[in-house]
Amino acid sequence: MKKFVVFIGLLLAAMFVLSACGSDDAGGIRVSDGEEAEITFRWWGGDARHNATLEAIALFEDRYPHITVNAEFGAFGGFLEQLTMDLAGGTEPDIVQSNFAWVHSLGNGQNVFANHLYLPYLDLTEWSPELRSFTTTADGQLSGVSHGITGRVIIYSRDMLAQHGLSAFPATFDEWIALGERISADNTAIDTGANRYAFFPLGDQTLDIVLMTIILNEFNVNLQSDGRILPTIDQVEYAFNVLGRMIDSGTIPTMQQQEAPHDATNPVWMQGRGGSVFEWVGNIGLPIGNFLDGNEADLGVALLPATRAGGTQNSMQRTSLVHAVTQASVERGTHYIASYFLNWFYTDEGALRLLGNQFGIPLSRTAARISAEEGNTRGLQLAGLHLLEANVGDMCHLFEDPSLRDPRFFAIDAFRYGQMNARQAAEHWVNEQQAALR
Amino acid sequence: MTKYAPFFLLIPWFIGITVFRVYPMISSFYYSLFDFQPVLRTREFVGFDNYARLLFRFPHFWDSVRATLRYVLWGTPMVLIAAFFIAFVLNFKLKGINLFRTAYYVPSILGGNVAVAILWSQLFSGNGPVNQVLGIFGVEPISWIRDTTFAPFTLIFLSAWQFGSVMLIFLAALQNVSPSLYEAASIDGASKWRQLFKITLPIITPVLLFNTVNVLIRHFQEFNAPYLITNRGPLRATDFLNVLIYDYAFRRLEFGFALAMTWFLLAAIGLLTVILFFSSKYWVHYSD
Repeated sequence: MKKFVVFIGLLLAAMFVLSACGSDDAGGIRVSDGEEAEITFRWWGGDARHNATLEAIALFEDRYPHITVNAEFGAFGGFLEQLTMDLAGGTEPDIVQSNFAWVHSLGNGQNVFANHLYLPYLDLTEWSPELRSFTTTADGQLSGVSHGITGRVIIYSRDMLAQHGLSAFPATFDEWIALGERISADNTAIDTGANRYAFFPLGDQTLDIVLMTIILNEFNVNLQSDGRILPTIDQVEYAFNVLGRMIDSGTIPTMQQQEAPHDATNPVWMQGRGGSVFEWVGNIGLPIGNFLDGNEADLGVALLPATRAGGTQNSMQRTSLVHAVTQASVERGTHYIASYFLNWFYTDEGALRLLGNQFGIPLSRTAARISAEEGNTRGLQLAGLHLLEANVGDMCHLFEDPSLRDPRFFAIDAFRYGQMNARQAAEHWVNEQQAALR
Repeated sequence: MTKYAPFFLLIPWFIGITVFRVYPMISSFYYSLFDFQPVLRTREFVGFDNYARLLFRFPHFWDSVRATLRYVLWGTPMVLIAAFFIAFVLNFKLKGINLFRTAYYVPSILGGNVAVAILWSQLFSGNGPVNQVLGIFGVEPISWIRDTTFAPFTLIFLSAWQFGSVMLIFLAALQNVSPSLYEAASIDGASKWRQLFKITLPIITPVLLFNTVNVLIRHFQEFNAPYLITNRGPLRATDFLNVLIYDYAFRRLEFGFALAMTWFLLAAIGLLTVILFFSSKYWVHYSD
């Protein structure tokens, strides 16, 4: 009897252990099952990206007819709001596109997507440790896969430089400001269509990155570490003073001179009245395509000048965008299919040839090889990429967090409007961000 | 059965108002008492701390209140005056008047969408038509959207431009004023202006009250224009409460704090509406 009880006990324990083992797989539909399955992939972009992605999805569905990939796509505007609501309700699609900031801010540093370290089918050797570091959250989880790395480069008008006797883009801010003074000599207080500027900042983010890059290059400090803002008020004031010289010399427009739209369709840039812009290398096609009807031969790329002769000219870089299998997909049991599709999306040669550089310059192993074979990255974009590779400066993962970015934007705007001097703007920049970090 | 039939008929309405109005309102207040992280699905009870932070530890909020009040207090009368004036003119018996009535209503149909935002940005740009017209009179170009003084007024002009619905209500009220009153006043020698202020306006004051309350609420709830045209700037000059709420809810994911702001907004709208209703006994004239 005693043996029987022990036997039954061991049997139950074994069943318990085995059932626990089985529960890992219980909810997951595998591609090899042949069972009909459906997943949803959501991304943002323009028409070219949409069309290429839809073609890649069609190719996948041809190869795996039992799997349906629903496409949800649209513009960037409203994407975060929709994703937030879906995450809150646990109704997010199986695979979503995300940007660098959201990976870290949506969960206050914690991963809100699936932990990609343990997703089946996903061959993580495709992504270098550097690419993986961008999507590793504070809790050590891998929250998605990075498409590539991007950073800002100067795109400048060769013609405008030549008109002022220069053959190369200024290497220091002093040279740039001297050039700006000459270019803007006849400008009026309100731009009525004739003003010219050595540098035309497109959007709020441009001067924010310029300022941070000055701090990074001059003092070799990043934005924050362990909840503490690293640059001192004196260091930030130094950067604001550089910015102030750019404003005073007319190198950049004043707030009153700078009209919408705040992107590469701004008439100042399109009409060739802006000597340079500062744009993500992955999006370089926009300023090129809009400059004097797409005259790429008149343009060159350069790094942001150094604050002194021979000084550092690093560029702040981050992942261009992220694709992530979601937690809801895990809960629905469709994450095997989702991770299989994601891996296929980044490794299938046919798909990669269809996708081209529509998501930016790919840097995962197979995607980068196919992109090189196809010659997708060329001209100014390739030149820009080479500049970035040679001058790496990492962007802090909280740099684009709205609660930190807004005080910086405000300080820069207030400084440009003359409502704060360099010291006050620096104090606001440091103290308000520090308060937001608490 | 007949006695209870009305109550049965009210059930769909009751369900609708409970599910879509009462429950969201109660739950929004409930969640405003929490540090609520919907994405992480966590919440920590903080009592009235979100309200205390809002009122005492968040100076940005008062900047937003000031910007909103400036918009409401300038925009409301401007819309009412523009709407009443146009309705008054359109009430005349003129040939082709229906065409004008339609034309003046069109801006209200367009609303504050992206196309209007682009149109408005172009109209008020440095070398846009507004500055060009002003230039004819020797006025120097003005930075309508990038100047902290002018940007709020650019949005107020946009709001005043969309007076169509208010105008229609005024027009309906004006058409209900008995012509015999004007005839009698004319015989007594009253001028057109005197007729306007002594007959027309007093008679339509109930409609004026209705329009004032509606326009006031609409201005408090303005979102599209500051979001699309001025991007809440320059220097937060057009950072109205509704946009601030949106920012904290959907960009910063501080839902509890954003909900506390919505309750403040509701209280502000409620307070001004109550003041208007109480003051109405001094200036609103009901025919009975």
